Amino acid sequence: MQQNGLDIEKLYNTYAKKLYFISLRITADRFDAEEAMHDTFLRLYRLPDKEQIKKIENWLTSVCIRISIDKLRKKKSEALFRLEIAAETAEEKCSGEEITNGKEPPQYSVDSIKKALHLLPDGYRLIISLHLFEGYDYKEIAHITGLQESSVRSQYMRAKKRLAELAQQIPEQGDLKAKSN
Amino acid sequence: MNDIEKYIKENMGSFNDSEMPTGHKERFLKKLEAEQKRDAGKIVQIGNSRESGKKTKFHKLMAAISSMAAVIALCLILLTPKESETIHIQEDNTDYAELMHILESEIISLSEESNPDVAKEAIKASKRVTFEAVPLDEQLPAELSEREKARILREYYKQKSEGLKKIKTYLLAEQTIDEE
Repeated sequence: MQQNGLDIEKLYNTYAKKLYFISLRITADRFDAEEAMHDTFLRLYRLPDKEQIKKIENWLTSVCIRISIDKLRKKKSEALFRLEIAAETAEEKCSGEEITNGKEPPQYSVDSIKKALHLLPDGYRLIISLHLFEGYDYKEIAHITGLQESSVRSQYMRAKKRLAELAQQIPEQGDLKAKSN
Repeated sequence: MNDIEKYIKENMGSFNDSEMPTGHKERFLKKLEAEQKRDAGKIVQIGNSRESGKKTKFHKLMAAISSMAAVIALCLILLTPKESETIHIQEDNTDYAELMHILESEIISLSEESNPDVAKEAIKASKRVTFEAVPLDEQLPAELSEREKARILREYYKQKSEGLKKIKTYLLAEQTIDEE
């Protein structure tokens, strides 16, 4: 399915999986992730000067991330989205100590981290996804989310701590209550 | 880098290695086909005019930002119900919203090839145009009819798109200057 020099179907075969999992990490919803991934390719299809895009993978990734964040925001208003992040911050300030005291190296698995990601609050999961998985720096994340860079930094630290805690709990307790499949 | 960061970075490939939903490609191809059929009966004009002349960077940015001011003014005017006006049968009001996202993506793409200072200003300006603390459709009074809401949203996103077109034109013009 070629259009203006770009074979959309070929690009789909190459990048669909990557984009789907990027979106799934952000939205924690398989239906939304598939929609976001499809919308990304459809936007490419609609772009009039697509052959001018020099780094197609970067373009697709960037657009997919933005669509995924929009989906997350549509589930709650922007104001609530920010309030959630503020609430997470307040909650973490009152939370207990870390599970591990450094006596034993923590044990992780890909599966436990994936499950733990789905259990994180949306704001935390977004920042972890963008920084740890997609390599965005704090400044870029601040730009995308509208948060202050210092907030992004502190949110990331808390999110990472929470992720580590959850990932270690999962092998001991079996599947915790999952947000989505 | 702590343990979990290190673990994720070392096993990054495995996080993208699971099965995708069955039938995902078939669903996409159907959507693409629908899109192609819609194109056959729809005219979408996306301007790509190049500005000539010797406008300074400052004046070009002001043009983009003033478009944003026009959006705000337009919203104030349009939020007054105008029941007596003929309401055009509008295309799906997400078209201009969609155009706005397409233009934003184009600006990001063009910025990657531009001078860093220029790119930074362009991205900042585009963020100002597209930023919505609360989406407009959530702010519109419930008393408005659906047609009126659709009309207001269409005009709102149309104006935002016009602002983004100016930014895009500015980036293209700056790239031309750099190449000379």
